[in-house]
Amino acid sequence: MPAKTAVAYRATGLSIWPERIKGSMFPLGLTLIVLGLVALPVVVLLFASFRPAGQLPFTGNTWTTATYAEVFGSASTYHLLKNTFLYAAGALAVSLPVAFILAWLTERTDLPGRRLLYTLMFVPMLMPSFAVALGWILLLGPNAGTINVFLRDLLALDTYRGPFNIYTMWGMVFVTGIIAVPSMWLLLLALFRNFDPRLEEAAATSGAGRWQVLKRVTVPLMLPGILAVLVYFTIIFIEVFEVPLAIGTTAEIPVLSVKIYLLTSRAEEGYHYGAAATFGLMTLVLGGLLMVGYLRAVRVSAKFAVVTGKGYRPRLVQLGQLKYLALAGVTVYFLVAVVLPTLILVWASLLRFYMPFSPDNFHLVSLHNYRLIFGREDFVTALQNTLITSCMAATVSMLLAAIIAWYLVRRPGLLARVLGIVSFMPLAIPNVIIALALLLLYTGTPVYGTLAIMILAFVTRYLAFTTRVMHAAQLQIDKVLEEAALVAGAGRVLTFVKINLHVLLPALLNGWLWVVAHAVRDFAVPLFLATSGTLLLANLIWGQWELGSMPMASAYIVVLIVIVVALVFIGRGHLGVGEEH
Amino acid sequence: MTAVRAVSTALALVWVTMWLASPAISGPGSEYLALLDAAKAEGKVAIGGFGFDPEEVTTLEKGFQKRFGFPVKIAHDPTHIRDIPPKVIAGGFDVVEVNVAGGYQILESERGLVTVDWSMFYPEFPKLEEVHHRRPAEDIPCLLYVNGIFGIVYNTKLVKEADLPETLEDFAEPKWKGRFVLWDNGNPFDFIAVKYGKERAIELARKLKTNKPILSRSAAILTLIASGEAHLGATSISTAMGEINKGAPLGVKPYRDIIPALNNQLCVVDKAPHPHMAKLFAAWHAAEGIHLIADVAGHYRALPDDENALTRFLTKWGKTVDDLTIFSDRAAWKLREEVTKAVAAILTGAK
Repeated sequence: MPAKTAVAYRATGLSIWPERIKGSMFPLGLTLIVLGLVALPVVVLLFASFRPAGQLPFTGNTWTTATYAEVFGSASTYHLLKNTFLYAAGALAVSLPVAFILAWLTERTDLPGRRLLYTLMFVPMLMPSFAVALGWILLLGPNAGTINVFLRDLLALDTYRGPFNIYTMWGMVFVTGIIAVPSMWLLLLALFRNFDPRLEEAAATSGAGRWQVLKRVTVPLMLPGILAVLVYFTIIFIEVFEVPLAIGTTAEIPVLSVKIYLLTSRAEEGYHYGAAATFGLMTLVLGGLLMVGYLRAVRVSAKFAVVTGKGYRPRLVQLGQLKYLALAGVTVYFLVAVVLPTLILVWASLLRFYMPFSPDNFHLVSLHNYRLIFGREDFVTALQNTLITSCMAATVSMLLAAIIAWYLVRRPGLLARVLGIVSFMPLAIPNVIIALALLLLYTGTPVYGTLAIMILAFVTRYLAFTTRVMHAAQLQIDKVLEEAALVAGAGRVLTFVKINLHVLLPALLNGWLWVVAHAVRDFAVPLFLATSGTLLLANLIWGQWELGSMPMASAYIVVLIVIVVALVFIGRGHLGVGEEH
Repeated sequence: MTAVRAVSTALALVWVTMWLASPAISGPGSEYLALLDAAKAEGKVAIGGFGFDPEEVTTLEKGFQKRFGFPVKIAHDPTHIRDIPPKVIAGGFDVVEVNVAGGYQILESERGLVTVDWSMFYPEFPKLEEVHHRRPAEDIPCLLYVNGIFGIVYNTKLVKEADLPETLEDFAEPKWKGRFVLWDNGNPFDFIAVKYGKERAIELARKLKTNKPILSRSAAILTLIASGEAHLGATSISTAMGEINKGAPLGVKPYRDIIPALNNQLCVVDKAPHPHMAKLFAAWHAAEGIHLIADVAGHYRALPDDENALTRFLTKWGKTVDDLTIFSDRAAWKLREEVTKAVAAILTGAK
């Protein structure tokens, strides 16, 4: 009997590949794609770390290990690390409790106006971090900060400084914490949504009070997810640089991320890409250690799978009279995180030069900056580029993450572990280093000078986050649902689309919006990778800021916020992302 | 008769010589005209390192159209010059403005810039020759582009002109304690080092540090002063003048002993996507275009016969462009690198 051809095999539904190899091809292919995205930039970092000061990674012939000796032999490195950990711990201490309470209030209680809150929470997320930092500098500057001036007048304080000073570690921690709350809230929201409320209801029926239910049922069951959030944000806080750059340099509190940024962008630091890469690798190792802890924590996560095919719709906790207290708390948060910094930026955008908010300065207000912006063709082009780049990046990133997450949860093993580690690695690499690595990597290729390189950068950059979101959500989906679909005759792809993507739609869409929001406000990627033909709004904002035109930069920021908030409103309305999911 | 013949012959020779030489002295050469045609066909220029705002781009586009009779579409990447070396090497720019703090050395060593024969533009842009000759070193393929002078900027509502410091040293007076702002990157101590030596610059940085300066970056400094967060500061007079034009409550004063001036370089990039327009725009911008935006932008190419806001400012204080302290050669560049690194460490408390 003649051997069957490949076509014949395919026609009969058989495979020419042995089952063992066939089973490995999918994860291998997936791993290779993720490796291509992640490992190549790391290789660039390694190359760069062995280059002397003032030299780019793939140019020149000089190699040296002196950079490592310089970095690890300097006392300033350990000073930076200490500051960095204090800063990260402080920001976590501010953001986690606030985000947890807000997520619980929005997802599990009858808080009035919580539907509006779902959308409003995206507003601070859409604001560039450095803009929020700038807003708070204008509000809490020790001498002329609007709030300080107001308080000094109100309390008749006989001093020209204070009572608050933004230029402190507490100032940095405060601003970073409130900036992080919405992103953290979004992650915790996914946990709440996929958490079976019947367990809480059972505890309540057994006589446990609200606090006891929260302490003994809700928090313990959500612990792996909360731990993932903690790990994620610890690394984020280690690498975030806009706030430490805006506040920390004046406060004289250097941190690791700022050092990395300055090493790549300042003559006084000697354009030391090698040292920047070494610090980047150090961050990578720190992230790796945190990642190991994370993986150990979630190893037992199977027993926390609490969403099944039944009883999914949660019953809301009745707040009663406490709703007024809750509303007051939410209002205070929004005042601090959104309203005050936004108002001061709006105020700034209406001026031709910045002056403190005061009735005496109302005569300076005009729409001059907005007239200029809307008359510019480059603004329209930058806006289009920004939306295309962020939406494409979010779509590719979320789909890839959904596939990875499914594989990590459903096919545990060596390859899954490798895939998990590799997909988590971008989290540990500072934004500015990823951007620089991609720039050097894709120089001279057709990708450079197109929006594709920035989409690629954002997909790489946010892969860790999107994978964590989908992983956390996937962990809580019982595989019984998929098995039921398979038994009913659906193929694997159809099962994945109809069951996984459908059930995980809230997490998928929220993750998508998160990536859009973060890509829109990211500065490192466009600053390094945009060319004159592919400018994003971030480039225009940064350009005005560097030019010294704070009002124009503020006007761009306000326009950006209005447009994206409108999109999110419309998007959430059309996509049905709300409490009904 | 012989004398008449001799005079006639001489006159004829002069006429013939003038006729032969006339294309070179009365109009642009064929190379320039060919470049003009090619630039017209390209129609675009992508520039980096300039802090243009939309008004300035429009002004330059209109000015270019008026000057040459065909349009240019300016696409400018507002990335700060210090961030652009890798981008320049990667390609995508036509013209860049760089300085010693903006990675010029990297671009130079990585051959990211091209050498242009600027002499072809001299007939069309007479000022360009002087601009070119003023570059810091013979082998630099770029054009001089003074992009700002530095001095004392103060809040006119908080400080009277009569009370202002005279020199950078005066910031050490107790009355300015905690009320003055300095760049966190070593400026203008690098200029002090060029004029007085490295030791004096570093000693001054230590002295001022004890008077608790507010540290900030370029743009934020003016915001801090205008808002009253700081009463005064050592920063860019050129940029402050742009804000004063808009009505900001700022005043400017040069130091008595030194006028730091940042001499940037205007360069054509090796992988320029519009190589002909790149050369034409660079030449025109350095010689003429800059004047269109000089009084509003804070970009001042200060040459002796210039008449703009900067030169008027200098005249007011009894100074001229010859008093500017610039990084005049490679040795000065190297000194600047050393000093800014040391001073930044002192000011920011880096150990």
